[in-house]
Amino acid sequence: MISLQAPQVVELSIGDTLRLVTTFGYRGPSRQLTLYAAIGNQGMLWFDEIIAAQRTITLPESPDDFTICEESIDVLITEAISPRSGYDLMAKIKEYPSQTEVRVLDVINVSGTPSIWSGMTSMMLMAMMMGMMSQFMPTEQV
Amino acid sequence: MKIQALQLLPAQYPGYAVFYPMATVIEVRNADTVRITVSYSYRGPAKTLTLYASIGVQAIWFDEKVKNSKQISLPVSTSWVTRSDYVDVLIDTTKISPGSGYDLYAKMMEGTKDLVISPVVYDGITVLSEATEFQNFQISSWAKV
Repeated sequence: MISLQAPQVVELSIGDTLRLVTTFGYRGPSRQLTLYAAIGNQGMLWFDEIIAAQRTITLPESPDDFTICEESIDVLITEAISPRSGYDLMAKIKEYPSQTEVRVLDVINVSGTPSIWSGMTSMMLMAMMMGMMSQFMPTEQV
Repeated sequence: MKIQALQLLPAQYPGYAVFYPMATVIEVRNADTVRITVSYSYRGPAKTLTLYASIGVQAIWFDEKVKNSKQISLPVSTSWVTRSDYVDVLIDTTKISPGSGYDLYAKMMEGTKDLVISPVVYDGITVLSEATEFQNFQISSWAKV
């Protein structure tokens, strides 16, 4: 029996960070390559990137057998992306797109306002700082 | 004349040499060097000859993939003198494809004329792939952090 599961949809707001994890088998010399990821829309012919991120990864020397690698990359959600649902993901090794480029469709929803938690975190931080500062403020003795 | 010894001079570790007993397979990568040492006996006038060695595939004829040669100066000798000399052959994967079962031989030449040819050493060299290959690249998870 084959069971199909719908891919997980992630709800994001401006200021959030999306972490993509990629897994792959690698065979070859130890190399530094670029892991690249983007959020955007899969068109008829190409992937229309809206937000992208990249980072250098070091692949292990594996001359004979494929070594299983797991590498992640964080994509910061900025105001460059319009609030909407149904965005797509793309990831690849930048230097080897033909061997690696993959997409996952319709898995990202973006809302326009910063998420409640990130807003609350900022407010709590501000409150804590004010509290700390008030302790050092000189008080008048009557 | 026979091939007496094989050494690997890995490009990754300059200055190091790995000795291999005969009848073992040497695994090499691009830019490595195989040092082929031959032994032979010589008697005759002082001469400068060419020691030549090649790695390739023995078929009806020897299909040479990579090769090298160097000049050897032999002193005059009225009796047989056993000598050994070596020649370094660079592994260049643009000329020798990754794969196993490569053969090698050496010979002594005077000008363009072959004076003596060693027996072929069969299946002595394996060239390892340096290609960068990926398998099953996928986005395995995505989540807000």
